[in-house]
Order: sequence, then C-alpha cells, then structure tokens
Amino acid sequence: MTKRTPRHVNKARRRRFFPLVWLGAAGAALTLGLGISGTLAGFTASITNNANTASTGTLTLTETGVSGVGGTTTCASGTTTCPLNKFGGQTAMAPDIVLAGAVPSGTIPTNTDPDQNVGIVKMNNTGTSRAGTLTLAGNACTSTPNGSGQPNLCGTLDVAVYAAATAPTSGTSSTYGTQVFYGTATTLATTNLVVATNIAGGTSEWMTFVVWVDGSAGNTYQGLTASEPLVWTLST
Amino acid sequence: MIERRGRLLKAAALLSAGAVLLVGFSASATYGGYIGTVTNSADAASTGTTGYTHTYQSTNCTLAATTSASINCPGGIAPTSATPSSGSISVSDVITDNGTIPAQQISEQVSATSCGVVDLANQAEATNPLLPRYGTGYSPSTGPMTSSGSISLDGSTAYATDVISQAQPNPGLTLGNRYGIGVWFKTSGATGGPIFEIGTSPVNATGGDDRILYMNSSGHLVFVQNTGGSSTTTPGTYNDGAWHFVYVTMTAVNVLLSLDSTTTIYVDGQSVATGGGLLVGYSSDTGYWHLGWAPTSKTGLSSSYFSGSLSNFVVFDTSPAPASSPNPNPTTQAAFNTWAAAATEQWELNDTGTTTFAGPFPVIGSTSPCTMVNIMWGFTTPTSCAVAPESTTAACTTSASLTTFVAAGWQTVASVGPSGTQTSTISISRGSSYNAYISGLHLYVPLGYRAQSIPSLSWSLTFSWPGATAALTA
Repeated sequence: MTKRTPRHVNKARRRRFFPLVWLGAAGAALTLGLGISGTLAGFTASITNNANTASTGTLTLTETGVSGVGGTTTCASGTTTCPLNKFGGQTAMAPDIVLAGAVPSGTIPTNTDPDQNVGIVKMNNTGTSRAGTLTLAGNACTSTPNGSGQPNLCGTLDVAVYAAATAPTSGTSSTYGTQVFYGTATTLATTNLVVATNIAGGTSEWMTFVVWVDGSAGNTYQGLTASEPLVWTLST
Repeated sequence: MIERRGRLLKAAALLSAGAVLLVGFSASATYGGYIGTVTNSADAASTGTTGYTHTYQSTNCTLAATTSASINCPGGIAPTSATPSSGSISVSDVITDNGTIPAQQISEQVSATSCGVVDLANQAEATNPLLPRYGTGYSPSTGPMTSSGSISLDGSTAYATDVISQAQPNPGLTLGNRYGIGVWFKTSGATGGPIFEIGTSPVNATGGDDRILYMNSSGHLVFVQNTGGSSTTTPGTYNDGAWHFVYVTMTAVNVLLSLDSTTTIYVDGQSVATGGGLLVGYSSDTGYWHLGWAPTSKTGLSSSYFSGSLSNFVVFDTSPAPASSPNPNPTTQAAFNTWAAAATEQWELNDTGTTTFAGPFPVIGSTSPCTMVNIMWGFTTPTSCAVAPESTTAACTTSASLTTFVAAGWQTVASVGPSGTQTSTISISRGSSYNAYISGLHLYVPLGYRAQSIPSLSWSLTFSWPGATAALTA
C-alpha cells in the first residue's frame, strides 16, 4: 500500500521547484538576448561583463623585389599583375649547363653571367596570424614566337627555386637556402609547391629563382621568349 | 497544472537550445582559413641570337644561326696573290656581329682544316698529276664536251708541270712507231702562246725543251720537234675563241737512218699539216711535261705563257698511238675517253682546284710545301691573335708555318660582341725553308671561323671558305 504524500509537502516541493524553472528560463532568455540582440530582454536582474572580448588575427601577403627581378617594388596581397619577374626578363640568354640531378640536389650554373638569371624576392607575412603554408603555383607557360618549326623554349628553360628564412646573396648559391624546385618551366607550370611552412606573422621568407637555358638547346632555340605567370598563396 | 508546467519546461529547453545554436552560427566565421595571394604576371625570359657578316675582297658572307649552322662562303679571306720574295702580303676581313649574345658568352675561333698542294689529276697515271701554278683557274664542269671540264691560264703567270720526269722514246728507233700528243684548247688571243712542251726543268726554266706545240701570233699552230730542228705549221688559224682538239703524231718511216720522220697535225679530226721528212729525225727526251708554258727562245713568241683554256691533255708514248684524232670530235667525255683509252698520260683538266697531292715532288721530295709558307692571323677591335702566338688579348708577334697552324686546330680569339665590328687580317710570307720549286703552287688551305655559345657550345655557327679561289699561292 502506497503511502500518499501529504498535500502540504507537495506544496512545499512546488515552491522550491518553480524558481529553478524560471531561473533556467531567464538564463536561456539572457543567453538568447545576448545572441539575438536582446529581443527577449526585459528582466530586471542583470550583470554586464564589459571586458569579455576576443579579436581575430590577420593574414596578409606581400611580395617585395630584392634583386634580379626587374625592380624592388612591393606587391600587396590580392595583386594579380605583380611586375616582379622571377625569370629576370633577360633578352639575350644563351645555353648554360644541362639539367642534372633532382630536387633537392639539382645542380645550377655556377657563374653569374648572362647565361643565367638569379632573381630574389621577399615574401612577407605582414599580418598577425601564423601562416601554415606558403605555396607557389605556376600557370601555363607560353613560348613565342611559335611558328612552324620553332621549338618550345618552356621545355628547355630550366628553373631552380630556393627558400630561405634569411636574406640570401645573389651569386652565392650556398646562401639560397633549401632547393624546393628543380626542373623546366614546363614542369613548373603544372606544379603547386609548398615552399615554406609555419610562417609567423611579421616574418618573411626569401625565395631565390635561378633560371637558365638548358645546355641541350640547339641553334633553333635562339630568339625565343618563355613567359609563365606565377602565383603565391599564404594560407593558415 | 502539471501539464502546463511541463510545457513551460519544454519551451525553456527549446529556447536554451535555440539560443546556443544561434550563438554557434554567429561565431562560425572565425574558424575559416585566411588566404593571401600575389600573382606575378611578368615572369619571362628570352634567348639571344647569333649571327655574323664577313666582308672581304669586295664580297660578303652572312649567316644567322637560326637559318643554318654553317655556310660555305665565296672567295677567300686570305691573300691569293703569290708570296712576295720578302715581307708579306695581307688581306683583311671585317666581321660584324649581328647577334645579341654578349661577347663574354661567345667563343670565337678560327682554323685551317688542312693544307695541301692543288693538283690536276692524271687519269692514266695517278702518281703523276700536273701541279697548277699562279693564275690557273678551274672550270670542272665547263669544257669542250658534255661532262668535261677545263682550266684557264692567264697568259702571264699560269702554267702546270707534272711531278715525274719521264723518258719520251725516240719514234725513229723503230720503223712504224707512232707516238701522239693531244689537247683541247680555246683562245682568242692575238699574241699566241705555248700550249705544251717537255723539258728538263720541273718549273718554268729553260732546258731540254722539245715537242713544243704553240700558237703563233697569227693563230697558226706550230709543232717543234728535235729541239727546234724542225717545225710543222698549220695553214689555218684557230684563235677564234672556239674549242678545238689538236693531235700531233710522230712516226718513223726509215729506221735505218733514223732520220726520216713524219709529223702530222690533226685539228678537229682533220689532218691539217704534215712535217718531218728525210734528215728530219726525232730525239728522245727526258723531262717534265709543261702545260701552258715554253721558253720564248724556242717559240719566238713575246710570252712564255698561254692565254686561254685547255682540256684533256693526252700523251701516247707507247706505240702505236692512235693514227688520228676522232672525226668528228667526240661530243662527250666518255666518248673521248674511249678514243684515249691507250693514253699513257691523261689529264682531263676537269679538276675543282680543291684536290691535293701529297708528293713526292721534284726537288723537295716528300717535304710539304705547307711547311715553307708562313701565316700570321691577327684581329683588332678587340685585339687578339690566332697565330702566332694564340691570344685572346694580345696582338700577334710572329708567324707560323701553315703546317703548324693546321696542326693547332681551332684557335680562340677575342669575341666582338653585339653590333660590333672587328677586323681580321691574314698575312702570308715565305718561311725560312722556302724552296723556289714551290713558287706559284696553289696551296689549298680551307679556313674556318666559328662562334659558339659558352659554356655549353650548343649554339654554333661556322663560316668556311672551301672554294678553289681561297687557295694561297706559294
């Protein structure tokens, strides 16, 4: 036989329970109010914490010419026509060494004459956030003129790319840093390279491009121009 | 009452969940990736070009490497006049750089690929060619017959001699012996000239001259036998500028006396003159055949040299020679060769002027004439020297023999650079071992000039002067 609870006892429980319900509802309303601009505001008791703030960081990329790239301008993040020429814009290149070796041991010309171009740019993370990766992607390479019988210079224009956390010295290959690419402009055009990682805000990465005409290029490769847009991307 | 409270609880829970959800949605953007990009649109590089123009002796030769890797240029960049008895003779070549490759990226070199004495091949006796001298020209595909050639002689310096001293038998020693000598000739001169003879000198000096055929100043052909003891003259003249074939036969008709002879001159297949006779004998001779030269003391002419063209010089010194020349004249070289099949010497004279004879030679034996002629090859703007000594910065200080230069191979000189011009000067002189025997010999020394990209050398263009007119004259 079940013992019934006395009426006065139930009444007392209800009195204790009701404030909890309403307190929960009020909390929810307060939370809702904070989230949706106080549309359910209107309760009298409140505490305001005016120091609870948090700000997002920034991630911006700029590219600055150092040497051998046709200028020392700085291209802002989002620039689509940055004029810094990593191939150097040489107009009278002649064949140098034959492409030999592979990343990271591919050999590069040892001289600094017009047979090659050494272009250096500084990639700057000018934001406040730490970047996860800096990537380099090549777009399609075009060789001109491309009339009948004329070969494609892109296939014999050799490129070696280096990344360094400190400023390199043009002509001193030991300062160029880590070789991240070694191949032809044609290969670079289909490559998306992670050239650096974990780049703190306010720091820079120096990129060195050594470009030369492959030693296997014959007479028919004279008087040609290879052009290939390059895209830098800095990501969290 | 209880149901009402339940609904309120559910409403409060929903509100709480909704509020949290809304807060969650409103904060989600802060977790997206940040990206910054820069696109370089101007990454380009161009290759240079190589090309040169050589300007020399009133002509020029131009080549761009994109057109061809090599070119054979006309004429020559070296002196073609004979080496002077003292001092040297020089010729310059102005080289213009039409390319864009910087000078320090180009290796400029010169060379002579070979050196040899130009000869006129002997189809009947290969070891006994004629050696042309001085102003002898070559027309390997222009002659009196189809597929024949000829040489031209300038009338003042040019002649040719063979290299083996031969004993020509006396036709009179055996009854009925017949020997013959023939040659195609073309001249329009009014001074006449010697066409052939045999003499003891291997060059153009008088001695033992016999069996001389010459054209007198009127255009008549004259054959001298027994060292001027007798001569036979044609009644007709042949200095009409047309090709004619003359063939002379010598026949003994009385062996007992050895003094009864018959000389017959055939021109274009016709017997046009007969000489000899009783007490007009022949003599045996030992010497070198001379083409285009004979001493004036034997001909009475004003010049010892023939002016005109010659083709197919044939000698039959084994009896019996053909009784007469073909009638009519052969119209092809092949037909002529059939008639001349028994010739003991046959110089077709269809040579290019670029074939050479290595010896042995009369007088100098197996010593190459190339060791007796020196060359100096210098450059200015910028200054350098190929020979001698080889230097990319200093001027020449001495000369070296052609043999030494050939052996040295490609010699590097200073490069000129885009739009620049440099001057190449070649000087020829007689070396200390020079022998008079080689005077006037044609020395075939094909010179070359090349420019190559460095360090790869994969871009290269070469100029060559391989023609007969580039030969030096010793």
